Amino acid sequence: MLRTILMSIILMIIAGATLSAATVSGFITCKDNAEPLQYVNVQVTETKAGTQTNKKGYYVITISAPGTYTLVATMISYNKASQPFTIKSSGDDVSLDLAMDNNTIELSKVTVIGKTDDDEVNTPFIKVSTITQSTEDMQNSVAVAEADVFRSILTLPGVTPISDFSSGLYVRGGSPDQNLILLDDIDVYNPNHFGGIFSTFNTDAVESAELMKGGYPAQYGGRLSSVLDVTNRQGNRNYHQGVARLSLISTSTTMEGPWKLGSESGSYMGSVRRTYLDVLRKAFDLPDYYFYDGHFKFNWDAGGRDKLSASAYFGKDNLDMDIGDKMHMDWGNKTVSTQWTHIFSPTLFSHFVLAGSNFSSNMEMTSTNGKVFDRGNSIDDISAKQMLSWKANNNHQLDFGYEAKFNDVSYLLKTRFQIDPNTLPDIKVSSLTGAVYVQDVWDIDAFWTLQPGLRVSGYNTLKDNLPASPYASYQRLEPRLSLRRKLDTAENIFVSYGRYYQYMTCMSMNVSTPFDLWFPLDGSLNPGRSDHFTMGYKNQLSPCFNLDMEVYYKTYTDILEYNTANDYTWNNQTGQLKDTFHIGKGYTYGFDTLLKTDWQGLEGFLGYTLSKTQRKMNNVNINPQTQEPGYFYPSYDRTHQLNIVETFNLTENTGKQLLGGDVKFGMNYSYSTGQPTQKPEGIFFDGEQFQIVYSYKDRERLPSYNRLDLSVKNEWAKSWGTIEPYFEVINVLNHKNVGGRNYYIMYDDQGNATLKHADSGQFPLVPFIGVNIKW
Amino acid sequence: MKNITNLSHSNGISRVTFCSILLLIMMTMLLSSCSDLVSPERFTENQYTVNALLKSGTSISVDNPVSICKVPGLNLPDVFVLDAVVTIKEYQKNPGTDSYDILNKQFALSLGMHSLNSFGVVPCYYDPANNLIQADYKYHIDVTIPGYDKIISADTIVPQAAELVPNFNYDPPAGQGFITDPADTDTSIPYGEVNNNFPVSVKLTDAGTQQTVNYIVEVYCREEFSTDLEYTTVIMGFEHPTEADKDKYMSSGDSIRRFMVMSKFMSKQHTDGNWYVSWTDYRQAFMFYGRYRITALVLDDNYFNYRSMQEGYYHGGVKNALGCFGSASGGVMYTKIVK
Repeated sequence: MLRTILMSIILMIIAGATLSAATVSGFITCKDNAEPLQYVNVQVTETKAGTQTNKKGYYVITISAPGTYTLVATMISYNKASQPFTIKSSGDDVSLDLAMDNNTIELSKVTVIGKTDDDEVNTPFIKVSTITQSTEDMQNSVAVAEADVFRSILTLPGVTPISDFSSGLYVRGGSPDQNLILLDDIDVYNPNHFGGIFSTFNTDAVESAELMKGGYPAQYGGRLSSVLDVTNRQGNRNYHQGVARLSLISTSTTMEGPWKLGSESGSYMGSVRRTYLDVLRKAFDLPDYYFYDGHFKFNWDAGGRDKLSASAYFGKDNLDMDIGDKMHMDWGNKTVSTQWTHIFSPTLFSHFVLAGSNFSSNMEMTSTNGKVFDRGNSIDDISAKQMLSWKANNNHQLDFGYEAKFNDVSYLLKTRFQIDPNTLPDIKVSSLTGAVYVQDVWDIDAFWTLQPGLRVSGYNTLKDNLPASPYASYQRLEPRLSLRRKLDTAENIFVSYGRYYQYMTCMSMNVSTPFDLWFPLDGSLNPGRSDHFTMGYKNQLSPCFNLDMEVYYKTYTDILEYNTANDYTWNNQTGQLKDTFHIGKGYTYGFDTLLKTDWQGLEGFLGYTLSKTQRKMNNVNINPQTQEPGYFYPSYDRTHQLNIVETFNLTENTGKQLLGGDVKFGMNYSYSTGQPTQKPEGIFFDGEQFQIVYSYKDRERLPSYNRLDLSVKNEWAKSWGTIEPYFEVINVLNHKNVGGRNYYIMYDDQGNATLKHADSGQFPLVPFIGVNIKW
Repeated sequence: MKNITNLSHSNGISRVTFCSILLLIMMTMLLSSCSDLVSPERFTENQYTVNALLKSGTSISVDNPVSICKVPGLNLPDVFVLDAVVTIKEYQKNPGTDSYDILNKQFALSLGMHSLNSFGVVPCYYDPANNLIQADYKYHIDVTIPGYDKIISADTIVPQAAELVPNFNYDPPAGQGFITDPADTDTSIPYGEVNNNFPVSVKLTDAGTQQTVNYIVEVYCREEFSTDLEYTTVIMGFEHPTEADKDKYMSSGDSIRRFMVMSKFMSKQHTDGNWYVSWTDYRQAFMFYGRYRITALVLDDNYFNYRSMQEGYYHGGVKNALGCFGSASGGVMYTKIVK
């Protein structure tokens, strides 16, 4: 069957391929800093043939006949750029790079004209359930203390924030371990700081974050729910610049600029950040906690056809507490990614990545007698992948490639306690995952685009020190298919299907923490499987409004939830990974809508989600009559979610300033219906204490969540740069949002035992101040 | 991309049709979500809970009883079952085998009242004949309740004899150490000495070899709640609990006055030739200065599962009911933690 599919794709391409067509190709960059621009609409005016730049800013268009043409590039927030070019003969390859100017509105103009956004509607390939956030988008979103990548993503429709204190991404019914998070094409595991309040990524270092909520293309695999593809900035190729930020909890600095050595040139970018809570703790009796992180990227423009880059990330959280004995915890991520972009020919673009990633966590307790226990965990990832893109002609673009990933995991618990060493996890597992993929974007005619794809993946255990754990060997086919029908110049509808497998699993309590453990599967567990069905409608309603609506249905099979009893029952000699999990299945369906606004100066969006998610796990939520598990709504199911994120640049739109500075207001409003939870249905006495018998996990819903955040920024321009203090208020309405409910039985002063409950709160009204300095 | 003009009425699907389909799907979902999306009640028929922790060397007394309750029900006086018929059978091990099929004796339990310390009394079932529970014996319980058509039953094999040894391997100065008399409120241990000299140790009296046992230690603060209670370690500037902590202190089940550790411990042979299981380096279990009760038990699998698994009352070995019918060997000791 695989052979048939591949042959069909190849035949379709050959049938339409123009053997000797001319091409125009090149890179589109930002004039200001010479950084490549992704997803720029590029069109040849005379033929109307067009495309979009890829993630490296590269485009190619085939031309069938000699002549003089005009290349036009358009993108939101940039002025249109155009350049004539000449094709002298068929078979000519014209190289044409364009630089685009940022779009600015003069202060004297009060009337704001909305910017067209049809580049997001008329993509050359079918972008299913995809939202791209730029640095500006992320920094405009009002966030706790400072801008954050994940907090910005959490405001999007289809993404459920489970708590103010967790930045775990629950995307369309999937849990955080089912998301593939990439930084410059390498996986990042457990990307959280501060116990989950922030993500690991510094927005100053990030070029963009692309969230694919489902139906993602064949290039991606290994996770069941979504892909978050984060790209580091390359750095300004024209001049050196920097930014420094000071917020209530951390300080950061970013420097970037060009470099030149003889005839070689390129750019660099470096960004470091550190909290200073540990400095303040002496004055305010705070825990001894800090985190730091750094992003670095070095780019070498090696020649017209080659670009090389190397990027690195490191981050660490550190917490020390005195609980009678000394408790120490640390955790952090490290990544290194080397990338080689090579243009074999104008129509064949290649991107090769060799990268590595490590996440490690450590928890230990030390008494007066020495170390009492030591828990260490790490996961290493070494990946090689190549992504090729062949523009056969203006009707077909073939993307294909491969990926090989080596994972090595260790988990070790040692203690002075007299615990049986066999019950203390001592696990070392390594595995190899490989995949090849092919995908065609076929413009059948002026209306229809078909995007079939296939990913073939394989997984093998390489080494496993557990004697009873069987080795795994799996091969799976992951078909993808999307079909789009254009209705107008900036309007289309589409349907999409995709199948996905996951070979890694994560041991996590209900809320993701830095101490979650990633493990490659062993042969006792099947790979998780998910099928995504999506139907969507996109329309640039007007220059001021862009609408995106989707309905979706996802199924999940062989999904895993951590079995906490494993903490007590594990045995290194007899243990298998299946003993550690409840196995089950689930589904989710829903409706997302995103209305982007650029109206009367209000820039932002309104997002609404209507959804339903259920799971059924073995040995969980047991029916007392039948002793069988039942479906339940997990804690991250929210029926209705509404998010409104808007900014208003007062100075840009009215000409008014405050104390000589440009003023910008920001607003985030979030509403969601209540979280499912359990409640008591019975009380019994166990001979010593009263205990509660609980209902099903989703017997009631907590009160709905409601939060309004506001911010104001005032930017002063100086000869050397800008200085921008800001003031934010989180939860302006001081609404008491309930994070969880705990029931307990309490004895009052008369000796009566009564059932009570306590709700844990989320962020109250909290103000934050800070300052941003750019030069 | 190709030129697209005048597409709104092109062949195939129209914009209106597609949007209508999307809106229809959305309205269907919206209407179906109007009611709260929650599960129904879990316990729609009467279920019962049977709980007991038999301790070797003691009898099933009003202090250590069998408790039988009814679910659902949140009104505390009404949850207790007062008319159950409860019988216990004691089985001895067949010599040379691993089976316990020699019926030694059987006895019936009677209704009594269990004292909740200063919090009143609750109904329970006890053995008026004071038959002592013996280590390495099997006990079977049968419970019949009028109106309930199933017989509730469970088995437990009492772990080997384990004797709690206060002040193991250490001769404390006068007035210091662990004692077994709860009325003695003066004998104390300085907080700084806990880790060095005062492990919580049980002797496995019949053990001939090293073995792994289910071991639990519970440290319980006997002081009444007061904002004068003092934390042994200041955390985030708090030296004393506040009124807001009262509920967390006074609650049954999980409470800040109660600290528990449970795991599979491996015995170690001491110089006296006996095998001991010890818990050391645990002073953080004493959250407050004051009087404490320390319970150390070697457990059977039923009670271990009951305490370790989610909704442990499904895994406590009881058939046709919830709860736990478990057994243990060990003991209780007391002390006062001082600065």
